[in-house]
Amino acid sequence: MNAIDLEVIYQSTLQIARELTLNMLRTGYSTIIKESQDFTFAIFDRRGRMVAQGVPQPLHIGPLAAQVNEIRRVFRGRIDPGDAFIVNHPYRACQNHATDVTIISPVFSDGTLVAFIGNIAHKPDLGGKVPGTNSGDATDLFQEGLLIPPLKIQRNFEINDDLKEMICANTRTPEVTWGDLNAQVMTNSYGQQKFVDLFAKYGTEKVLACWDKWMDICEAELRKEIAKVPDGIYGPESDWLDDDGVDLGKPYRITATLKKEGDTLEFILDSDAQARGPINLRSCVSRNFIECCVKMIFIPNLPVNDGLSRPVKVTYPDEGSLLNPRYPAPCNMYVRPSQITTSVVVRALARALPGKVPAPSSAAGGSLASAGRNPRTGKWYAQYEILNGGGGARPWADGVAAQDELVVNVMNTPVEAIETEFPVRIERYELTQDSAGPGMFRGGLGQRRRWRILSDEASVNLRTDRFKFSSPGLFGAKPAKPSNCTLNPESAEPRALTSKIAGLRLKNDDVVVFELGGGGGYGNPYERDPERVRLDALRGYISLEAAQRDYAVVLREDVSIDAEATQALRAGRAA
Amino acid sequence: MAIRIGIDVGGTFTDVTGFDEVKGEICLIRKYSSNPANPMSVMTEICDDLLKDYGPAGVSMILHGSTAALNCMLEDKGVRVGLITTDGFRDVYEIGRQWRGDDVFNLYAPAPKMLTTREFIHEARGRLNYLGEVVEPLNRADIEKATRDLVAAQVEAVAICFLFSFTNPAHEREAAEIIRSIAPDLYVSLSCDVNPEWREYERTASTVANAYIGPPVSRYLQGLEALVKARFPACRTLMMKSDGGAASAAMLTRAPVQTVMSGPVAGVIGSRFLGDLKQIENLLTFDTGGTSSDMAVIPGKPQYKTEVSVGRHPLRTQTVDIDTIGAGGGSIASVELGGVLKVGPQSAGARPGPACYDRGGTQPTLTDALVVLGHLSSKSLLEGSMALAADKAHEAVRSVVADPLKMSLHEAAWGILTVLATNCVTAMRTITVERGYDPREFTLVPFGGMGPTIAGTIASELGTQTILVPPNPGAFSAWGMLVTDVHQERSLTRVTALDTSSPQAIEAIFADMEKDALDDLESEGFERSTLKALRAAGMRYRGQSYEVNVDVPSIRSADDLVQLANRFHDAHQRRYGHKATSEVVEIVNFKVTGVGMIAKPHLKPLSINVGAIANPVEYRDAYFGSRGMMKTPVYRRTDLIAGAKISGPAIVEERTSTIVLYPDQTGVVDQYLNIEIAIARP
Repeated sequence: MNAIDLEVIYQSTLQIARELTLNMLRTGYSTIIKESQDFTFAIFDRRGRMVAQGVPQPLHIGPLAAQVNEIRRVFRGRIDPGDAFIVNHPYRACQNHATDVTIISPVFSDGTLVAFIGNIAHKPDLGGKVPGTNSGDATDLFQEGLLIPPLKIQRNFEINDDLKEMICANTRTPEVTWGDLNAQVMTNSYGQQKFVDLFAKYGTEKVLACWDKWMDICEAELRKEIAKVPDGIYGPESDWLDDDGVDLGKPYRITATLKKEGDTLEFILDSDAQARGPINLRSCVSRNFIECCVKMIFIPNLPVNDGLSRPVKVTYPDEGSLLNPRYPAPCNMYVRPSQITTSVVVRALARALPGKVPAPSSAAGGSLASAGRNPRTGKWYAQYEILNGGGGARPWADGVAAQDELVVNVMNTPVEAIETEFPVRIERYELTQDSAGPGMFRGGLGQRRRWRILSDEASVNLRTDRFKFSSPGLFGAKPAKPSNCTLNPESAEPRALTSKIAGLRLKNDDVVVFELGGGGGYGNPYERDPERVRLDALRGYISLEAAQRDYAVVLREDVSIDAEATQALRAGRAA
Repeated sequence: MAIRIGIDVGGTFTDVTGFDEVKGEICLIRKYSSNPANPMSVMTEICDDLLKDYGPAGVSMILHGSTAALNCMLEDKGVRVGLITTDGFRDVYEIGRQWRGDDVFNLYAPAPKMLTTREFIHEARGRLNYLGEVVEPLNRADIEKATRDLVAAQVEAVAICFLFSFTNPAHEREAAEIIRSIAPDLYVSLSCDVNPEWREYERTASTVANAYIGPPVSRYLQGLEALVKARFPACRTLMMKSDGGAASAAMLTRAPVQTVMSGPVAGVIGSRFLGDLKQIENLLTFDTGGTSSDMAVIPGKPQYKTEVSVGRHPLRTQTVDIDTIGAGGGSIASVELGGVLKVGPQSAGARPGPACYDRGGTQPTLTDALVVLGHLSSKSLLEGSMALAADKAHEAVRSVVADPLKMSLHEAAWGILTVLATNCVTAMRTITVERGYDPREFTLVPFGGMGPTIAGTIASELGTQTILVPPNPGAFSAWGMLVTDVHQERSLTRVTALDTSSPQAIEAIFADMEKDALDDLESEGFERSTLKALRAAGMRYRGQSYEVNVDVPSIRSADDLVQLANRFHDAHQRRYGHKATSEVVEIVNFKVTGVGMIAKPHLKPLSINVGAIANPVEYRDAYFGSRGMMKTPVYRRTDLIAGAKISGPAIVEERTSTIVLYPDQTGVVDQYLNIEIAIARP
């Protein structure tokens, strides 16, 4: 394998993954595909090892790898040209939650199975107890939508119409759901032809050898980087989820410990027992975003493939735990434990690599959905917004305000679009003063959104966390401000809401204010450059009181630094 | 005698092309060194030279593509800007869209770039609803206080962006009046002028950017106009805009942000003109210089996008849809990861430049590889005006690529070309596939200094069947400016469902915008009768939050609306692979382009000399991959008369570029002296 073929063939492979993504964006039907881009493509070799991927949603990659191998196991000797497989079962073939549906298609060259194309795409609805399927108070898997074990959805390039009818009968939005599924199957077929061309051009064995080599390169580079970290045990780092949306008083612990030895990393995960509510997290999902974090930290410029997973081991708690749930524990709200697990994993990595890893972000990201009757049209509407807290501080800079979590990548919805479409007025959309975790470098600020309901029939679902706990920051930082959500804050009876609410009834003129927590700080806030504190106060990111309380910087009314008083205060706090 | 001049300011060189309107031919091509620190100095030099050669009545029009606005943004050289926004929405600009976009695996994904900081962002009470109705009147005291604070903070420009100002500009206009009454010298930029479309973040960002670059860019434009007027009193000075049209300094004062992508668009306009002349529908442009390649898909008409990112800052402004990758003559080759050959995106630039420039560069670049391969002359470039040190090229390719990879020198150089071409081909596949087109159905138009040199390998990989190389490809962008028209755009967001609106109501919105745009052109001295207006609409199925651009004919009857819906269904089918004829169709954005037609240069067709024999000036060894080293004829382009045929392998050298025909490619010179290269399919 010469250096030129190595680059040209792999770039061509990545290009196919890219074209699959574009084709799906182009032909997918739902706004979930076209706007949120909540889908991911990946290419696997004949042994089920991931070779390349398109632009991903980070949370999708791990399940795909697990599912390709499950298909290889279940259908051994029965995989033929023109087949396509479907699966969404969180336990039969690891999946985030049932509304993520996977299509896997084999690729043949001269009659021999040489590769797989897999794609995973979120569905707008797949049955279950609520519209949109994912129910915040589900207590078992069967309330979370239609379950599809590994099945053939296409044989000899013909769709299995029985299966199609079965799926369409189990969704509230059959046209859109099937439109997306069909686009998934057809896009895989498009990719199969591209691979046939690639194999014909360079020769099958040469392409496969190139893939092998690239996986080896990524593995070797990763091992080289890992080896630079001092051996040792880092952590344990623990954090908590507010509750599971069902038993409201009970927080859930998640712990990560990193064991670094030679050129390998082992993440030892632990947690409380599994929850009744839907915050359980399947192991393939956590394994995947741990690998994503490892990639981001150690080899940010290399492609993602199987080589990345080889030096990384993840150890889970016993079955029956939040991070290793037993069938049929519900899991539709898997993003919440994912965000908290990411936080503790990032903290453990930061201990191992001081100065190289940011503090954890707020982990407060979540959604607020409302539905009701629109008085302008008389029709039912459903509105869905995803909002984020602050990003974590970097070892050399403040965190970014209101930025997506490391494992999430979705846009907010413009105020002007929301008000044009839905009976609601947004009265404030701004950053929350003093929400960031104080540190030598502070976290990013969280955001506040204030809705006024302009409809007599509306109900709201809140799917978030971090009302009771917040990002603790790193290396001497102080904790960030947690999130909160209040109904009618200025009324005689303001009502503080919990972080997971299903079907809260609202009426005309009700006001909901949702404040998301800030990102974690980095380092001792008393060592923060007073000039930075002054600028933060000048810009309104922090109050004068917070400057003194959190940073021991005394500012005068005109926001100038009182150097003497600051020095005295800092000396006193240090003692 | 009247000469029309196109001036294309690049990072390294400024190209000047002159077209003699009487003779119908290019009469001058000049190259100047750019002076990014003082762009006006090179313009002065050019105009002084023109004055010397042609006299004060000799130049009728100067069209200018400038990087003034772009560099102002990229180099953070704008003015201090204040922003006044709706109470409660101070942080719309800082929050942005909250996602990390392509930085999904970047642990340190940057914040959205801001051109001002929060202490200069003020709020004012006053609120409109989605229909533009006043929910709360504008609080004039808030505006007054904000203005005084901003003046005290020494801002030079103020941007105003209120929620829903695109439905009703009254509050923004009222605020502007208050500001002017307090601080008449402040540059004021209103979102309802810059970009009256919905989605508050992008509108705010565009308005802030416009205010940020407004004072310096306006000064530059006005200075240039004065410079030209002083030398050529009757000459019209026009600036290229991002949308491929041109405009005068006066027309650009309110929204100089429209010139940010002024640089690369002229080549697309020039290619379209060429395609029309030759009746070729589908073109793929490939403009490669020293550091980057600009590519555009032109399926009949140039395609547009409404949002671009400049130095990580979004701008919503009508822009010819061009993609850029870091691949050019200066792209650096390296061996990484223990044995993978990478080329670009790092570039050696003009300094030190490729190793063969002998200016101290030691890293091998694409240019060095092409010298090693014999595709470029080993002695000099640009008709002898630039000497090359071939031994330096050989040494760089050998030491950095060939030896570490244990390859021959020529294999290594071929590898550099192949890897760079793969990068270009994947980018071209991306832009065609994404838009629902098949690149095999397109003609490749290469230009820029390096485009025609490597187009042969790219066309083969892409599967296109024809390459069309214009005359003077290295100065083609400057030429493209000579065939542009004057544009005035209007856009407006009004979410309008076709099923519940009347044809009259829709026609009235367009007619208003049209009148406004054409009035502006009339005040520029265009006769009303020579003006035309193009209408388009951003349309969607109800509930979608993205729009597809559709051309709109005049709307007189209900039947016209049905036709419009059908156009949208078809466009949606093309772009997204399906349509939904039972869904409600909405117009979201209304768009009008007023066009002041400028007489096109009339290219004189030459008579074809059937069977003309071209005589090479020399033969040299050139390397073509699996075909190995081949004895290759080298022609001078000026020797190739209309009708001349050449067969690959062949090399054509000219003043601005070198054209390489690969084995199995044959070229014929057409009546406008383009070289049409046909690619034999295996």
